[in-house]
Amino acid sequence: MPVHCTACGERPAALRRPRTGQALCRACFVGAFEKEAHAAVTSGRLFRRGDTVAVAASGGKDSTVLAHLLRTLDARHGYGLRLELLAVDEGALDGGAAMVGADKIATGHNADDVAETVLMNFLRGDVARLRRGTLAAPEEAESSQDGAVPRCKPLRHAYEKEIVLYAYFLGLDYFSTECRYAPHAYRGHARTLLKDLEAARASAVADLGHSAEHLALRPEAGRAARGACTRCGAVASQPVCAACLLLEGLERGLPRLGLGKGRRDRAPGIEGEAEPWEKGRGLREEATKDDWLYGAHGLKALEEEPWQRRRGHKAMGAEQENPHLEERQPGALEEEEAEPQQRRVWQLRRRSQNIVGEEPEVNGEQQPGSLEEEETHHRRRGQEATGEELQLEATVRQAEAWQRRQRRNLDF
Amino acid sequence: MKCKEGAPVLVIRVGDAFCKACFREYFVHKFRAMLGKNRVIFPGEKVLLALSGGPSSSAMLRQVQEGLSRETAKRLRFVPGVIYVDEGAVCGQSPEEREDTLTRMQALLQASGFPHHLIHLEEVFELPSSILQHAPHAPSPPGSSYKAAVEGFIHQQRQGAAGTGDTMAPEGQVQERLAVLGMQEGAAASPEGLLPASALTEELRQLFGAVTTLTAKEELLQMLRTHLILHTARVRGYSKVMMGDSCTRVAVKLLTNLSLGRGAFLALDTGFMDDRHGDVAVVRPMREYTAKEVAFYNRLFGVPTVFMPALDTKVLEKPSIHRLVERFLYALQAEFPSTVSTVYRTGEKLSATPADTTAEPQRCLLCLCVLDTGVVEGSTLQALLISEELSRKRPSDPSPTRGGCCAGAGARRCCGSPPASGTKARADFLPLLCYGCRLTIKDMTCLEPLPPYIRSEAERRRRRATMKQEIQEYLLEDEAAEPKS
Repeated sequence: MPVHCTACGERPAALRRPRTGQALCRACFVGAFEKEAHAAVTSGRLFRRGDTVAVAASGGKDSTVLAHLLRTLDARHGYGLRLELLAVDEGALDGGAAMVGADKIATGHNADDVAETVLMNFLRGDVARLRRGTLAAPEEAESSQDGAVPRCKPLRHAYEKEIVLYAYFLGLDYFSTECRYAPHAYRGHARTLLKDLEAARASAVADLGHSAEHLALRPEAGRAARGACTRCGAVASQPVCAACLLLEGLERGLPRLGLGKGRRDRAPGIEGEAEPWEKGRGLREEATKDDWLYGAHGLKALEEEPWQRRRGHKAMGAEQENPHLEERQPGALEEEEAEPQQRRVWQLRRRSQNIVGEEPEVNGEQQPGSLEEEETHHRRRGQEATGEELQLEATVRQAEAWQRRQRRNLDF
Repeated sequence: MKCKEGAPVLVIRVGDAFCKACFREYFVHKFRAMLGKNRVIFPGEKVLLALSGGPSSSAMLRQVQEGLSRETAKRLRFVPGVIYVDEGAVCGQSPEEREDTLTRMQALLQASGFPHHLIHLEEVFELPSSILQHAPHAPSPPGSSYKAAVEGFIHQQRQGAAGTGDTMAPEGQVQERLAVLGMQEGAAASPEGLLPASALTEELRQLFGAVTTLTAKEELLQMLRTHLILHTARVRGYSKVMMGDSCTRVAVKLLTNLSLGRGAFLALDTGFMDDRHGDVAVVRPMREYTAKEVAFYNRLFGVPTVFMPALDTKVLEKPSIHRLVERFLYALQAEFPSTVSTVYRTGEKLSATPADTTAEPQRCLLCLCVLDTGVVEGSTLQALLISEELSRKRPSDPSPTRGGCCAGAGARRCCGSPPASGTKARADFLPLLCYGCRLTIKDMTCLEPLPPYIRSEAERRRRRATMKQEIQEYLLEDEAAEPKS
C-alpha cells in the first residue's frame, strides 16, 4: 500500500529521508534539501553580495551537487554571486582561485566528512584542528593572514546519503573515484565506525557535528607558544619547527628524524605542548610500530582531506608523497593541501632564496653576521631588503649556530 | 627493569618489565600521585567509594584500604565509605542470580571494613527532586592554596558539628525534605530477604521497557545510578564520590559521548573532578590506569571482584553506541598500541567551560550540565531545527509515532492520558534538557514511567518558566541565583 508524502500528503512517497526519517515525495524532498541549503548559506553568512565564488569541482558527487545547488540558489534567491567552476587536476585550489579572481572557495565537504574528521582528530590527538572546528574559533582570521583564499563549506550540514539522493532525483551525473590509498588511510577506520554509529542512531552524524562545535578546549592546549623557528622563521613552539626538523633528517640521511614519539601527535608546524619527557628530544630519532602510520606516506595520509581523497589524484610514490621530505618546490597540489603554516614555510623559503641566492646552508660559513653587514651585502646585490627579511637572515644565522651546538651535544 | 634484581613478571608498554614489588610500588605511587597532584581531597573528608564489583573499582577499594592502613608512610587521610548499586532488575538476572550476586557483594562490602551501603536501583522511585537541583556551593576562589581550602573545610566541619544550624548546608535541607516526604532511608528494601519490593522492580522494568534503543537505556541507567549515588552521598554527609573509571574506560567514554552529542561536557564526564552537583564532587582517581594494568594488579595481589552482567551482555544484534565505540577502540588499540593513550591525552586538553559569572546558567534537568542548546547562527543545531521545522509543515498531518503517547505500546499498562497531552508533555520536557539528554528522551515511547522526582522537577521548572514569561517585561535583570523555595 503506497505511503503518501508526509509533507504534501498528495503524491506517493518516493524515499525516506535519512536526516528526519520522513517519507517524502521527490518534489518535497528536493524542496526541503534546497531550503536547508539556503538556510545554511544565509545563517552562516557565507557569502557577500558581489563575491566571486570558486566552486571546487572534482566531478564527484559533492562538488556536482554543490555546483548545481549554488547556481540554483543564486538564481532563485539572488545572492548576487559570480560563480566560477574550478576544476584542478594537480594544481592548487588557491592558485586557481586567484586566477579567476575569486573571493571565496566553496568546497563540497558534507556532514559525514565533518563527523569523520572529528573522530579522526580525536584519535590522533590533533587539538589544533579540533579547536578550529568549534563554534568559538575565528574562522576567517587564519586563512586571510597568509594570503590564502578563505574557504567555506555550504554543504556541511547535509548528510552524504541525502546528497546522493538529491543528485539521483535531479538526474545529476558524476564520477566517483576513490583515492587509491584510501583503504590504507586512517580515515577508513573512522569511516567504518561512523557507518556503524549511524546504524545505531540515525542522528549520529549530526550529533558528532554538534559535539565538535561545542568542544571546550583549554586555552593553552593545541596552541603553540608562538615562537619562531630559528631556521626558517615560521611559527613554531620548539626552537626548530617540524618542517625544518624533517628536512634536517633528510639532509643527514635519517628519514625518521622528527617522526618519533612526541612529534606525531601534532600536525606539523602546529605544535602542542611537549610532554616533559619529550622536551629536548627533538633531534633524537625513534622508530616504533606506530611509525608506519605517521612515517613517510603515513604523514600524507594524515593530511588527507576527503576532498583530496575523492579526487583520485595521480598517486605519487610513497616517499614522494610527504612534502616535508622533499627539498624540491612543492607541487601546487601539495601546496593546496598543506597546512597554512606549511605554506608559509615554503613561501618564506622561496623568499629567503631570493635574498640569499641559495638555500641557507647548515654547515657552511657564509655571509657576514651583523645586520649592517647584511645590509651592505643586500645593497651589493641591488635589492631592497625589508626589515622582515633581515630578521629572517638573522634567525637563520642563529639557527645554524644552535644546530651546531645541538649536534655537538647529542651522540648519534 | 627498575630495581634490576627482582624477576620480571609482567610487561607494561613496550620495554617496561616489572617485578612484582616494583609493579606494586608503581601502582600505588600512581594512585597517590593522582590524589596529590589534584589536591581536592581534604584530610578528614568523607569520601564515598562507588563499587561496581568490576576490576577498576575493586582495585580502587584496595588502594584506599592500603593507603589508609596504619603502617603506610604518609597515610591517606580521609574517611571512606563504600556504596554498591544493585542493577539486577534491568540486567536480565533472575531473582536467584540476583540474590546470589547480592550476597557476594554484601560479603565484599563487609570485608572492606568501611561503612557500606547497598542500594537497589528501584530506589530511584523514592528519590527527592532535590537531587536534580544544583546545590550552590561556594567554590574556593581560583588560585587559593590547598592549605587555605583545607582550613576552610575544617572550619566548615566544626561549624556543622557545633550545630550552629548553618542554613546553607544543603544536607540539612535535604534531611528536612526527607522528613517532609516522610521518606525513610532504605524504605525500598523489602522486609524479607535482600531484594526490594517486587512492585518497584516491575515499575523499573516498565521504565526500561519504554526505552526503545539500547543506547538510550545505557544512558538512562548511568543517569539513574549517578543520581542514587549522589543522593546517598548527600544524605550521609559525604562530600566526595570516587568512581573507578580506568584510562581505557575514559577513552571509550570520550568517543562515546562525542557521538552522543555531549561534546560540550566531555571534561565533566571524564575529567578528574566533576562538580556539577555543587556540594558533592565526583573524582576519578583511577583514570590513568589502563585496563591492562588494573587486571594485572588484581591478579597478582588477589583483589576480589564480582562479575555481573551489564545491560548489553549477550545482546548481539543492534549494539549500542557504547558497545560500538568500545569494540572499535579495542580493535584499533590492538593495531596501534598508542590509541587509547592518545585519546586520553586529547581528553586531558579539554576544560570545563567556565561558568557564567553573572546569571545562574540554565542546567539540564537530567544531567545537570549547563545547557548547550543555545541556537548559534550556522550551527548544526540550527540546521536540525530548520529541518524539523520543514518536516512539520502540514498541521493537518496526523503526526507519526513520535507524537502519540504510548503509541504501539500494546497491552502494556499505559499512562491512560490522551495522546495530545503526551505530545505536549514531551514538547515541554525537551527544552529543559541538553542536546545529549534530549536524544535519550526522544528514544522513549512514553514519559510516564519516569520516576516521580524527574517528573515533579520538570513540572516545577515548567511552572517557573511560565511564571517568568508572564512577568518578563517587568524583570530588570536575570536573577543571580534561584531563591530557595
